Amino acid sequence: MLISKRLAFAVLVSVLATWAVTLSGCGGAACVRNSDCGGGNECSDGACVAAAGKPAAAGTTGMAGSSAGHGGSSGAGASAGGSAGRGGTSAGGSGMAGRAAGGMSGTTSELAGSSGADGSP
Amino acid sequence: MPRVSRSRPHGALLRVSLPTLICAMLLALPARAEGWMYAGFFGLGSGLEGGNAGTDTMSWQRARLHISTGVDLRSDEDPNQGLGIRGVFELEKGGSIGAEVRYSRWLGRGFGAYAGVCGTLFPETLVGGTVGATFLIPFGKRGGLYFEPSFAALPLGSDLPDHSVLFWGLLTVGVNVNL
Repeated sequence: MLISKRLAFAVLVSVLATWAVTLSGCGGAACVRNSDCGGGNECSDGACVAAAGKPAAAGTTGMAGSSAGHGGSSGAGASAGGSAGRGGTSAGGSGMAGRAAGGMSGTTSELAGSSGADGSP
Repeated sequence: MPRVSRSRPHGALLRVSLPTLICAMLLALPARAEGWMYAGFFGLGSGLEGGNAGTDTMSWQRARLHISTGVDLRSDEDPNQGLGIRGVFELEKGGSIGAEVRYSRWLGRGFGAYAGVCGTLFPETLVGGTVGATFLIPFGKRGGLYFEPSFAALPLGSDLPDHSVLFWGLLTVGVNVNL
């Protein structure tokens, strides 16, 4: 019975200590494990950040493709001759992601360049 | 004087003793030189979880609520020491499945200490060592309540931030049943 009382006291002290440390926010870090941060994120320097080694999200890839496509378009817009049009093709074709969009932009710019070459005096 | 044949008593002896010997061998129960005592444990626990998470200061937070269930095996020839296996299931923040293997030594009827290897296996991994104590409050011969304070250091696994070691200070409370 004496052991039970001591045990109950020890349990009470443990629970109170846990409660005190938790409430005080000792250390102040937002995370101590990667799984504290949810899917796709990891714990670094006490804060949750996007995981470095994980593949980029779909939205990010699409933006890279759009950018390459815009390069092609700008080539077409500035084109007065065929060389500018080819520059547009190159920019469109070099888009690693979103290749279809980039390629189409490049093709458009090449056509614009060709027409510019044909139309130029 | 008639000569008595000596083969007849020998034959009778064989006919009786051989089947008796075979029956004795087949019907005899195996000797119980060593047996195993099993005790099942089921508990709930929580506590403190800390690590530096790549910084210079230790941070502590409440450890995830976990269920711990498993068995202890002890030889009846040396019941003061044994091996234990636990399955550990964290219930918060998505949960995880883990395990623990321990060597335990009983220092009295209701008090023992243990050391072992523990960790989580799914969805992320953590591996480390643990030490702890077990206090038993028996209720009858079949089982009782147990309290288990423990401390674990986990330096390996995919769930750790870079250059970090995770520490657990846990208290598990539950029931045990002698099987």
